Amino acid sequence: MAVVVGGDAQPRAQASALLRAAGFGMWVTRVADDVEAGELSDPGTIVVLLATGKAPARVRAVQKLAGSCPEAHIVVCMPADAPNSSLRRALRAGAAGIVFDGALERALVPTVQAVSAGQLAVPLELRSQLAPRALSYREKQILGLVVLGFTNREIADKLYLAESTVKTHLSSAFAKLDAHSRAEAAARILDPEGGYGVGILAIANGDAAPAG
Amino acid sequence: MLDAAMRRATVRIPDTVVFRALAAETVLLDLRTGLYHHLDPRAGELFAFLAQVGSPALAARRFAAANGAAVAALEAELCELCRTLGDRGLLDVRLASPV
Repeated sequence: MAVVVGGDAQPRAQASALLRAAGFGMWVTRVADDVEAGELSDPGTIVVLLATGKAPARVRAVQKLAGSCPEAHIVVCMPADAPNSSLRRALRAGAAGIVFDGALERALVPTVQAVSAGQLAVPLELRSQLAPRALSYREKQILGLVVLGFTNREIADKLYLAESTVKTHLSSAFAKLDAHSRAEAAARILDPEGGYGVGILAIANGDAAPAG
Repeated sequence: MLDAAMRRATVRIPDTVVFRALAAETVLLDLRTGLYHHLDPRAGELFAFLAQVGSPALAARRFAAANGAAVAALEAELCELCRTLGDRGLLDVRLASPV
């Protein structure tokens, strides 16, 4: 069973036709609220979300849908020029598959089939982006202190660094975690379900300690 | 014998360990390993005393005076805590020399 929801009429019709031809039982609706209202009762149903607008709005739509239909497997269409960080956010928000706008004909059915078989299906471009980028030794130390609520000044004092150096490391760490604030970074680290878990801060033997 | 040495030991938190007392626990972060360690409220309270006074025996006396507990039992509890934290590198323990 697949549900095509949202988007403009033309891609909605195209997606429905593609999935129907591939043998999926279908229903189509223009507004996600119909799905969120509980009409989706069959666990494992694939919801193809054809949200319009820019990538962040689509990520929010995924998040909302995933919150109201936790049993559904969501395949979302994203702009082809969406930054990788947005694609990762879509996955974190609950998407199990991503198809780029303009690639519906080529990629929608294989993606839905993969997701219905319990696989994660994303564009090849995302392959090297799925794992979090490795944090450096200092970034791990600094983030560890951020999670405990230390200020930049306190971190600088503790690690014998300049406050500006702490800020530089933090900016780099935030970029790697797709976080925009200390709170967001901490939440991402502390939440093993939706984020990374504190294990991401573990310093391995191979991590190079800064000299001095 | 070992407990006697531990009671009179001096302890300090290494520079590479930071801690925060939170609502339901005390969290210690080892900056060398990036690992967090969690103490329950009781251990966290004892740890804070230890950090202030630097000796299990003194911490036991002060804690007992403040909370009306038995000093001997507290000393045993603090010695065990020092051993556990020391083994994990979360506390520098310098055992007293035999007298």
